[in-house]
Amino acid sequence: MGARNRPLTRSLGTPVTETITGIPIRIGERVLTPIVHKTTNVRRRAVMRQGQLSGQGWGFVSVRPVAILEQGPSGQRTIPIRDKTAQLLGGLLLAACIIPLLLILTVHLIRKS
Amino acid sequence: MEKDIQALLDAVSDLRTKADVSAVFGPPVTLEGRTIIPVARVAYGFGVGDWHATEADTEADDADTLEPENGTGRGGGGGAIARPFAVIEVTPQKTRVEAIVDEQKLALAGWLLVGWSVFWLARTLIQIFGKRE
Repeated sequence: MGARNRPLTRSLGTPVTETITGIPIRIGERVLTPIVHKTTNVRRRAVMRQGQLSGQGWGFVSVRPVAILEQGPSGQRTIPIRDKTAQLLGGLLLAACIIPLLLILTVHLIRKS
Repeated sequence: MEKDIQALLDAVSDLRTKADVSAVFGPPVTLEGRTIIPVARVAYGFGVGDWHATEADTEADDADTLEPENGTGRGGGGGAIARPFAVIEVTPQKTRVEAIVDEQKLALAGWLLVGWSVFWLARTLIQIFGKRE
């Protein structure tokens, strides 16, 4: 930014993740409280130049369910909500890493013998 | 003018607090003694810009000369995505969470893994049999 540009306000945010609990849902004798992780990153900037004023802002918000807190006659327990797709994709990625290693090892052993 | 831009930037900051849990957990639906709560994963992004010029930039040089001497410009855009994540089933006996698997994404990843494996297998076979010949 040159000397002629005067920043009025600037917010270079870093992603912020917070855990939020929602409004409890009553079903019969049980009360379910949703818990989510909210990740946000908002950046904004305003610049004053000679005779010009400009402002820009951008950001993203991601809300991911994490668990549900169940309260009932039998007590309280937390039921996790797992991302099964991410788990399976992680397994495939692991396999993609292991397969070449195994094959390289096979070639190495064959050459050695 | 400064107020307009400040209001715009404040609106951008407010979006951080707008998304809440109700966007992720849907309303419960009761059917035949079972209550179902749909759960989704939600994400959205946005961008806005505002520009004002009220007087000629007399000191303008090189790239600045391309800008108009006065005027106003404003624009913005955004997008959102919501993906089914799980279903919470509540029966008189128990509460359970049934995860929803994105089959399309998994099928694509599976095919990529098959291709990757075939490539490495072919490479290995060439290395083994190429050496013997």
